[in-house]
Amino acid sequence: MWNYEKRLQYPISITTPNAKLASFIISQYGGPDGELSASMRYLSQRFSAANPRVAGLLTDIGTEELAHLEMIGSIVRQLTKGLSAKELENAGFAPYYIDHTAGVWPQAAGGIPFNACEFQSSGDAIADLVEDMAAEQKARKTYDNILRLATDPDVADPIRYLREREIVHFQRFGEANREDCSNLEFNSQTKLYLRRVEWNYFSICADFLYISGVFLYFF
Amino acid sequence: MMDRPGFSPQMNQKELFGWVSALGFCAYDMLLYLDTHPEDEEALNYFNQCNELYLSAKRTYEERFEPLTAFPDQELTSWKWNTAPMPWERGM
Repeated sequence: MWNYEKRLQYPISITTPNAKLASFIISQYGGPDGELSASMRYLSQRFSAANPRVAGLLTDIGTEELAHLEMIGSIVRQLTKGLSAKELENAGFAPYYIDHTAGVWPQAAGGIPFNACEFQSSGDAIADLVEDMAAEQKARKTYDNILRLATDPDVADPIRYLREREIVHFQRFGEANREDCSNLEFNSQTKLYLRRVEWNYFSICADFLYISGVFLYFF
Repeated sequence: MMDRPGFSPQMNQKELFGWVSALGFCAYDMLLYLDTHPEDEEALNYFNQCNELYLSAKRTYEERFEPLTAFPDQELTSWKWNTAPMPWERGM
């Protein structure tokens, strides 16, 4: 379960509303490389992570991503709060305003609604962790692009913080992937390094037959 | 950290809130590091240090100003959990 701590992970206090900026930054709320996508990716992938160290890391980073989602929602809210319909229209925010007024709704900068197809939960720890590393870099790239457009220091400061966190998460996922890869074992049948499969009744019987076969062959 | 110049239990709400944020960040960043370096004793000691300071700053803030968690350490004398401003309206 989760407990809510009633504070933003990094403070956000925007003095000048700017709907134009909100219409870009909302992409990190519900866009392809946004925080909703990040949190749901990690919090879904962890169920099939057999290694408890990896499952734990996915839980902790997924939880931090929820805090980042809250930060982005706060930025969008503060950038649009108190603006009139006319001001929103002049900022190019009219199509959003018609459906959502000044509410916060997960969509990409181009208006495409949030979609779970933006992430994968593959059931394979290595495939998932390598996707996670790429996801952190894609989010970092979006923050780089936002920083090229956001000149207001009230906005750029928390965005820089979020960008920095993507780099830390990338590092941690890389370490988790290395840890998981060290659990690979050589499979003599397929001549490939495969993930170690948990023992079950079938594999124990197969091992017994294999060992009996070797024994009978030599003696 | 909290014995560094700048910290005092009498500081104002904004200053104390800043300490809660900073110490909470230290503890969370160490949490992620320890998830992939569980054998690092130096990191574990640093985590313990950060966590202790974070918990005490949070407790001081909650005693003096408003709740940050719905299940605080101390007994409540009034219900402020959903009457104080939400984080995006707090402006700090």
